[in-house]
Formats: sequence, C-alpha cells, structure tokens
Amino acid sequence: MRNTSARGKAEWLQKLDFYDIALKLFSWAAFLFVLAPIIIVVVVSFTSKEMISFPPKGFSLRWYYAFFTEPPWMENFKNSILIATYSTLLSTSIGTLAALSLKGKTRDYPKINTVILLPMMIPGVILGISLLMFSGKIGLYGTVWPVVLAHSLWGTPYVYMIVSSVLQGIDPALEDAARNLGAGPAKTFLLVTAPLIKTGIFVGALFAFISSFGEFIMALFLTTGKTTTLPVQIFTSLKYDISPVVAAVSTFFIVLTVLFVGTSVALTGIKTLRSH
Amino acid sequence: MGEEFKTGCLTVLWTKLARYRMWILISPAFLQVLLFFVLPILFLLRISFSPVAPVTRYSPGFTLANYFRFYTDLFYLNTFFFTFKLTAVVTIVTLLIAYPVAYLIAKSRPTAKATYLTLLLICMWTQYIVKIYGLVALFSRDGLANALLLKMGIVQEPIQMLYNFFAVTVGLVQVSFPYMVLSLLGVLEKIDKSLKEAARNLGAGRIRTFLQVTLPLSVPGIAAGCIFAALWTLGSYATPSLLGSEAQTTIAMRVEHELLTTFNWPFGAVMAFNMLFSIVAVYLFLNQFTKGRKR
Repeated sequence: MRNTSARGKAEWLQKLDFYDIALKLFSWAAFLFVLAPIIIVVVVSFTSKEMISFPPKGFSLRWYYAFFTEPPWMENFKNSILIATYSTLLSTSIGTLAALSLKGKTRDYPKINTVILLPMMIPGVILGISLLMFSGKIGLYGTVWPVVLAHSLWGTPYVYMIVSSVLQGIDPALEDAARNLGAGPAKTFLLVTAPLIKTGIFVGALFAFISSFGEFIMALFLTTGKTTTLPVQIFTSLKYDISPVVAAVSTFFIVLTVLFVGTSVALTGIKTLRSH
Repeated sequence: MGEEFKTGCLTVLWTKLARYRMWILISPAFLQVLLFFVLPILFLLRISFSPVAPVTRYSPGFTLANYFRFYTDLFYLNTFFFTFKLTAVVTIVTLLIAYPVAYLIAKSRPTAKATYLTLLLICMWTQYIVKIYGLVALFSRDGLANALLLKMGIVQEPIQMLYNFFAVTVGLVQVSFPYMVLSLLGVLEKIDKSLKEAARNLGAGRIRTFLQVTLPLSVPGIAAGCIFAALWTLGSYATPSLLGSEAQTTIAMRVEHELLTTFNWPFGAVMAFNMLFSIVAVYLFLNQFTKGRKR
C-alpha cells in the first residue's frame, strides 16, 4: 500500500515538467507586463480624486463627464472622427480597386505589393515632416487634407492586403458560371464578386478607421489648432499634467480597440488579423 | 433590341479595356504613393540642400552647408549614437521577452492559443499613447509600482522611475512586443516536429535540441520581429519625449525641434534624411536573415 502511494507520487513528480512550468510562468508575467498599463488606465479613469493614487480612492464617472463636456475634448473628438472617416473612405476605395486589379492573375506581382506597402515601412515622423513641407508648398496646410492623405497612406495597405486575401479564396468557377449564364462583367461583379468580398472590404475599412483614429505622430505635424485630433491632445495633456480625464479618454480608446479586435476576429477569423 | 445593343457595346468596351484593366484599377493606389509619398520625400531632399531663410524657412539656392554642419557637429551625431544604442537595447530586450511567449503559444492547444492571440491583438492595436499614460500611472511617484514597494517596505519613500533610460526602454518594448511575438510565432508554428523528435531520439537534451534545431530554424522570425522593433525605435518620438529626460533625446525629437521650434527646415530635412538612410541600412541588413537558409 505504502509502496504504491510512493510510486504514485514519483509518477506525479515525473509528470511535472519544470521547463513547461517555467515557460508558462514567464509568459504569463510577460502578458501581465504588457497588459498592465492598459488595465491601470481603466482603473484610474474611475477615480473620484484629482490626482492619481493607489489603491484608487472613490468611484465616479466625473472624468467621463469632463471628457464629454470640457473643452477641448469633444472638439478634438469630432476632428478625429472626421479625419478618420475621410481617410477610411479614401483608403477603402483605393485599396479595394488595387486588390481587384490583381484578381484572377496567376502570377505574383511582388513589386506592386512593395509599392503599395512601402509607406507602412517608413516612420511616421518622416512622412509627417515631408507632408508638412509639401502641403505648405501646394497650399493645403491648415486644412484636414494633409492628415487625411497621410493616414490613407497607411490605411490603403490594410484594405489592399485584406481584400486581396479574401479574393484569393474565391472559387473562380462561381464567376465563370455567372458569365456562362449570360451575365455581363458588371452584373457578375455586382451579383457574384461584390457580395463575396463585402465582409473583407468592411474589415479593411475598420482597420483603416482605427489606425487613423489612433494615429499620433503624423497628426502631430499635420494638424493645426483647429484640426487637433484626440491622440495629439492626449500627448499635449501628458506633457503638462496627468489629469484622470486623459484616463477616461484613453479608456474610450481601449473600449474601441477591444470592440474592433472582437468584430474583426468574429468576421474574418484570427488568421487574417495575425498576418498584419 | 436597344438594351441588347447597349450590353453588347459594354462587353466589347470591357474586353478592349481588359488589357489595361489591371493598370487602370491599380493607378489610384500608385498615384497616391507617388503624389503623397514620393513627391514629398523628394521635396524634403531638395530642401535639405537649401540655404536657411528666416521667414520662408528655406530659400531656392543650393548648398551643402547643412550636411557639413550635421556631419561635423558632435551634438547631433551623439543623438544618432544614442538612438542606435536605445534601438539595440529595446530590440534585444523585446526579443528575450517575446521568444518564450511565442514558444508557449506555438505549442498551445487551439482554445488557449485563441485566448493568447486575442490578448496580443488587443495589445497590438491599443494606441501607444494610451499605453504611455498607463506607464506614467504605473511608474510615477504616486503610481502603482511605488505604492506596492512602499507597502512591502522595500523602499522608505517613493523612488524616481520615470524620465530615464529605463522608462523609455519599457515604453518601447511594450509597443514592439506583440509584433515580435507574432513574427516569431509565424516561424515557430511551421517548424517540423519530427526534426525535434529526431534530435531527441539521437540523444540530444532539451536545451541542446533547442539551441541546435529550434533556434536556428526560427532565425527568419527573429529577423522579421527585430526589423519591426528596430525601425519603430529608430523613428520613435512620443515615448522618449514623454517617458525620458533630456538625456534620452532621439533623432525624431531633434528633427521635430528643428522643424517646429527653431524653424530651421533645411537642417531638419538633413537629419530626417540621415534617419531615413540609417533605417534603410538597418532594414537591408536584417532583411537578409528573413529568408532562411536555402536547403
């Protein structure tokens, strides 16, 4: 009896994989490390005090109320929405057309990919300052257009990549069938291709929107007092004080991000999102 | 009859256009890159050769003085050296933290994997400016870290954790981490399990199997992840300016200062170009390793 229990214990010990336990503990600690700032922001946003303190004192929604009522937050919020909407419309149409151009092509065009994806490889600072100088030259400085165009340089590649990957998964026989049944190219596109890629276009547009809405560095260079966006205002506030109202605005961004990730994963699966 | 005629015409037109269809559809994208990326960069290059002018920011002449000033002034060169040092530290730290995480995710079961990936995606898409606020709240004098240290009696009064090299590194690692994990995961998942089993059967221990089989095979993923971390850090502006002090000034901060504070556009352009060159150089260097060894 004693013998078996001793052996049982030995087996249990043998099954314990110390490498595996160490790996798990380390990884969880790493996840805690990268998620901590996000969690802290949410916690701080509900404080009732003017200053940050731990553990947080009181619970209130006053900072959310401040976000919605105190200037300049709502003004910046409107600017951000406007800029993100324009740049999403632009990048969604340009990116979708670009993706459609390669439909049915059997060989790869790596050079086309490079040209479209190139702006994504360049730091925002460089894009921002070159567009700042250039928009002064062509008389766009002071309007929303420089920042809209800058953001669509980063939005177009997202739409292009996502719609391309959806197009690759379409069975060409479906379109052939429509054509054989007498539908013209326009009708085939509207009734067969478009419904098949509309989710892809929608997710691409979501990517473009969220990347523009949260973009900071290009917006810093390309917006003026009147067109300041939310991330730029967060940066400016952080330079001078760390009021909890910034935590409320940031929590709004976090909720938006979680909703965005959730929707995209639900619509296209985790695979498509991972590759970007 | 009329309808049929119209459709017929359209079909003929479509077939005629089909030869050029690809180029017509792709032209807006190319035009966008040309007009709002290539042209502005060329304009920046032109300005870097312009003499400085007080009101117009630059004047039409041609000079090499800005480049000369940059390559002879240790103040600006030191900013470059510092940025490279920071880049090396951030890239290595990110890799060391991300590798075990990617390794764990690669061998997890589908449900656990989906959970890890969702957390990673949230982390990846959370605006870094939001994370910076979180880090300030974590490391400030009244922050969580100090509160914990005080409570545990490790320190007697709050210690300064912000506005130094440590805080900047933490901030940048936070941003690069999810990209690094995903790059590594891409290769780790593809490694043929039978290779590892073969190594084990031939008597190699776990550590040796890792060092001689898994690690060499994951080089392309390491390189891809390092490209992201390095390019991001080389161009970083917000993180060092909010979490660092004067001693942690990066190239991007100097460029911004020249452009928006001293209004010396030509000199700012020179620095921006040198930054671009170093970025291209780092990219080309690391990109060699992304293809993996030919068999």
